[in-house]
Amino acid sequence: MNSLLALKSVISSTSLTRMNHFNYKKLVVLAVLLRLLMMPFYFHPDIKTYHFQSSFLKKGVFNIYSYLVDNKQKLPLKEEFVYFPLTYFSLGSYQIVASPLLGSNFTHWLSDASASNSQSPNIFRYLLILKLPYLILDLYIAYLLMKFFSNEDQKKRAFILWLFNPFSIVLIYAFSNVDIFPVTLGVVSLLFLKQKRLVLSALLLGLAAGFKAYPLLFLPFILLFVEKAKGKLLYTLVCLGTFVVIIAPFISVAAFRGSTLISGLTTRIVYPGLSIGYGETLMFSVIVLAVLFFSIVFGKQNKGYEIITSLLCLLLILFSSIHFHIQWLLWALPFWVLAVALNNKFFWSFIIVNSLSFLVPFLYDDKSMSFGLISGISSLYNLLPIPFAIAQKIYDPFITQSTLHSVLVGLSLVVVWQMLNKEKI
Amino acid sequence: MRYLILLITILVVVAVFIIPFASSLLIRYIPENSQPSLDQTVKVYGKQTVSQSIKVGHNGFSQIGLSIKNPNLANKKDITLTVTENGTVIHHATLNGAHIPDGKFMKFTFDPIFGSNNKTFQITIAAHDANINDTLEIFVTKEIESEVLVGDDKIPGSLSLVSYYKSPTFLYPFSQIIHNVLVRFGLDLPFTVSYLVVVLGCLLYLVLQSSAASFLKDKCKPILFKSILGRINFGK
Repeated sequence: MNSLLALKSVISSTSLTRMNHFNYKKLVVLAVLLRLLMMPFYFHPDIKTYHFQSSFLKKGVFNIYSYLVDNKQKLPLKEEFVYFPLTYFSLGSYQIVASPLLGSNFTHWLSDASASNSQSPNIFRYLLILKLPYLILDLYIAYLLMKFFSNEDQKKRAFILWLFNPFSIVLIYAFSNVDIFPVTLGVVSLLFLKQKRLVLSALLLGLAAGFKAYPLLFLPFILLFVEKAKGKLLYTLVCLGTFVVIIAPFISVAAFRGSTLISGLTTRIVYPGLSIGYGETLMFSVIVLAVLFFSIVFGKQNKGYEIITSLLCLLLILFSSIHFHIQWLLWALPFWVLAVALNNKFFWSFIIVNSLSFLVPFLYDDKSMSFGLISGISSLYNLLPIPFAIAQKIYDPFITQSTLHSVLVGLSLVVVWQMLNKEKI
Repeated sequence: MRYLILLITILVVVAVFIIPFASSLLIRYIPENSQPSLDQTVKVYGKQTVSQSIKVGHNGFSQIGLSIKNPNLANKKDITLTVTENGTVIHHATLNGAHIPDGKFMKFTFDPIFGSNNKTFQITIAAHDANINDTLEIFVTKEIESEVLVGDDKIPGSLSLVSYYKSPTFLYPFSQIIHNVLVRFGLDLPFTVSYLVVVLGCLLYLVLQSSAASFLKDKCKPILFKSILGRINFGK
């Protein structure tokens, strides 16, 4: 009888989900475990491509842009390097450091352009080790996001939201998103800005731009929150100066200009527009960004955390108005987490906006958006039809994408309006 | 927030275990080989057919995949694939040029041929309604030493094709996938052992830290112990 009572007592007082106190260590271990489970098994071909390109650093290649163009004919992978120089140097350096763990066949695997490269016996090792820096930065971002708050509840919320949201896990570990580097530097920059350490903030924002250009979009908005003209000038000079120093050795190289400055994000911002004749085009994204910028300028005087909502609104507007890559969604996630940690009423906006944002690229005509991600487990998954092909049998997938994207635009505009009109954060 | 943690844990477990398993159930046809290189093309039109022998390594042979050029998408007529064994026609499969994008990998599907393991079949591709202005072109590889009969001429090489066999059961593809994964883990033992140690270590830590474990440790053991002692008759 007593043993039955003991058992009943165990069942009634034990709950799988009940935490009597907030155990950071336990949550970190759980977060690491979940990531370790995904890392070896999800394979996006981009990780192989940019690591192949970065592997030339250990052979002494400094200017990767010219090298890839000049040697295109004899290289097995022909893509251009579309990132800014710090991505090349960071990934290349990491490969040198991690080479004992990667093994002797790694370089051969990188050069293997055949369909069977995903069936390499070492692919699980390669994927895990190549994603290790992402894991470290991912955990570091969780730590940084907590530093934005002095309130314990907000710290915990930010910590949990970052480590336990499906979007960052999928973007970083399934899509092998190298944007984690500039995202981390961007968060550190923002933290220094909050602490009024302007030079460090500007330096880090410039460094972030040295990986990918998008942090430069933050500059005009950040300057709104820097007091005094002298501070604004200093911030601009340090940020842009850092960025210029990074790209200076390559700016005269046509291949660099072609593959970074005039590609991807830049063209997608500039090209969608309305021709008004005489060679002029009104650029849709620039219009909406200008509307956002000036509504903040002419709005109420801003303090505190409103830089977070401004940058989040900037990215929401940007994604709404252009054909975005799914990897770009990572840029906004830290700001979402901060916004929701500050005000929980944005939680469902966070979930719905990001879910919709994932659905749009999911319907792209791209194998690596769906079953292709598990081709590292087996190439048999490549036989399965992609969502685009399935959608084609039912209805025009482009209309479906357009509908979803339009709904995303509407929802994003509502969220932006709410944030700017001071659902007080 | 605790429900978010639980939800994400479940989602990751689904992503790593359930999605690969469930997706494998959708795989009906399994390739016997990877597509060889696409070195040159041969035209198929009118009376000019393309034939070659292939040896199949599994039962249930039921698909042939080929890359087909349809220049300017000019061809909108039928192209047929005929499978013969010892001169006897076993199966036909037909595609239409209107649904063949230029250079696309297309599959001819026919009823599974049971008992096809280790047998040699002749496949013939024909586009009798096409003419010189709307030919279809089939890719040929020089990687494989064989012969392709193009009209009345023999050319060295082989059609750059993939042969498929129908999965005998629903779970067969998954069993193949698991086998392949385990073999690859086995081939990289140092990594496998290290990985398992870290993953199991994390799991063990979480189990030891869980409320149930600490409750059992702190409260339950003494109660159970007392209860057991109470049942033992010490000679009373």
